[in-house]
Amino acid sequence: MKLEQDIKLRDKVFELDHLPKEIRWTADKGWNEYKRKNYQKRSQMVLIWSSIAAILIFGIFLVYNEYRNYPRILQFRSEKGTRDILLNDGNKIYLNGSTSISIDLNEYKVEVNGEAYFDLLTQREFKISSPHGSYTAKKCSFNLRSRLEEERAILSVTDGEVIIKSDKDDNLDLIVESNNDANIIPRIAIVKAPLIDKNYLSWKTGKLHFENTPLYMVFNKLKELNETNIEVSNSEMKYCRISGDFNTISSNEVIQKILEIFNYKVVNSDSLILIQGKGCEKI
Amino acid sequence: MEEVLIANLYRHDLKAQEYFYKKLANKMFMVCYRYLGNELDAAEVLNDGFYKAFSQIHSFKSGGVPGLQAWIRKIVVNECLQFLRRKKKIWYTNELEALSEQSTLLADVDFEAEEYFMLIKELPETYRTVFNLFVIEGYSHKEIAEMLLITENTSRSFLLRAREELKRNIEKKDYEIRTRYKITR
Repeated sequence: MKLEQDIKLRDKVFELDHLPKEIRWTADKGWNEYKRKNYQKRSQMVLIWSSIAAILIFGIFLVYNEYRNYPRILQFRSEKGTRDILLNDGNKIYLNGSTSISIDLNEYKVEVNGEAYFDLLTQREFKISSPHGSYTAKKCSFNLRSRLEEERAILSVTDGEVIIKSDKDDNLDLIVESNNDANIIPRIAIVKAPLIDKNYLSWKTGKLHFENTPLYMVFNKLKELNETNIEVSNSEMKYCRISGDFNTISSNEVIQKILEIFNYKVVNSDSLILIQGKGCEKI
Repeated sequence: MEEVLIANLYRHDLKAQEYFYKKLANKMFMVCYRYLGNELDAAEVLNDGFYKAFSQIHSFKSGGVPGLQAWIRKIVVNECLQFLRRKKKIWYTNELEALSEQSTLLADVDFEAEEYFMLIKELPETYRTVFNLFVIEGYSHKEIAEMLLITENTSRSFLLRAREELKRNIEKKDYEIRTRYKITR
């Protein structure tokens, strides 16, 4: 076909703007069918997306509910014996007797009154407050003895470091590194020194270790652990020294050992143990 | 006002869609009917074409109503071809025939548009498709070959056969009309 005939035919076909008589289809019918098919499709999509949204909302609600019911603040109290707390994240807190603690699991805030050993394994920072001050710590191990009825707190760091927060200025915060301890006397002083008291964890380990330790320190430790009041008949005896390992923190056993070493005698009264002897001469 | 309606199409406004559907549907239906040869298939493919056009309206950039019509037409033609491909068919031909002489329609026959339309519609499907694409839509054989996944020579061959068939049908119809109305050349 020559080009002009093609063009003529094309124009003829294009100019046709009505439907042939044989066609029953109309634009109105077509539109109705279009709506029915495609808006049905759209309704199905709306239904599908609504279902997905409903499932998501329900899921979020369930998780929120679960979270809401999850206890946010835990409170514990140990009376005479020790108590161990293992948190979900692996951090551990060991309570000595007569200790109360409150742990906010969301904020990682701890309030403690008594004595507790913290074994913190994660990088999440704990904010700890006690009757004698505030501290921050993460991924470290330390013992904190802070009883309301005592004039001072003792912080002993085994591993890592703990920051004693100043209530005046962050620049005055004090870092206590491992193998150091700090005696905290509120509004007066904080004394940081190398850790001398090797028995600061005796309440937890149940062991005592003395290495050329003067008796007055031994007696102080026994008083601290067992509330045992021990006096000596002659003041020179306080400075006598002993060495030894005990698989117990019982005052009786330690005193018995002292009596054997120095040939002392004990005179008991209701609230006091009086040790009689002459000097530091060992048998 | 139509420009506003085109803008509403971008917002997938139902009323705008209805307006343009009803405005363009007849012409587009004819395109489908010309390719597919039957009313049911044409109605189905027409709606598929409009659905695609309205869904992808953001691809239509400019040109007002004439531009929109041409753009929808391309989509509809494409839908027709996809329909035909899905339905069948590997088209074979003897490619040597592609080189034979071009036939011509009868120069002094002048039918109405509807008559030409129906004659084209009655062509066999394969010839009809190539004829529509080449003569009516204006595609080249190279483009047709790409669209139908055939060779250019096959496209030429189908067009030649379409013309020959169309010529026979025109002659036949012309003869019938002349005989009925006793018209002589």
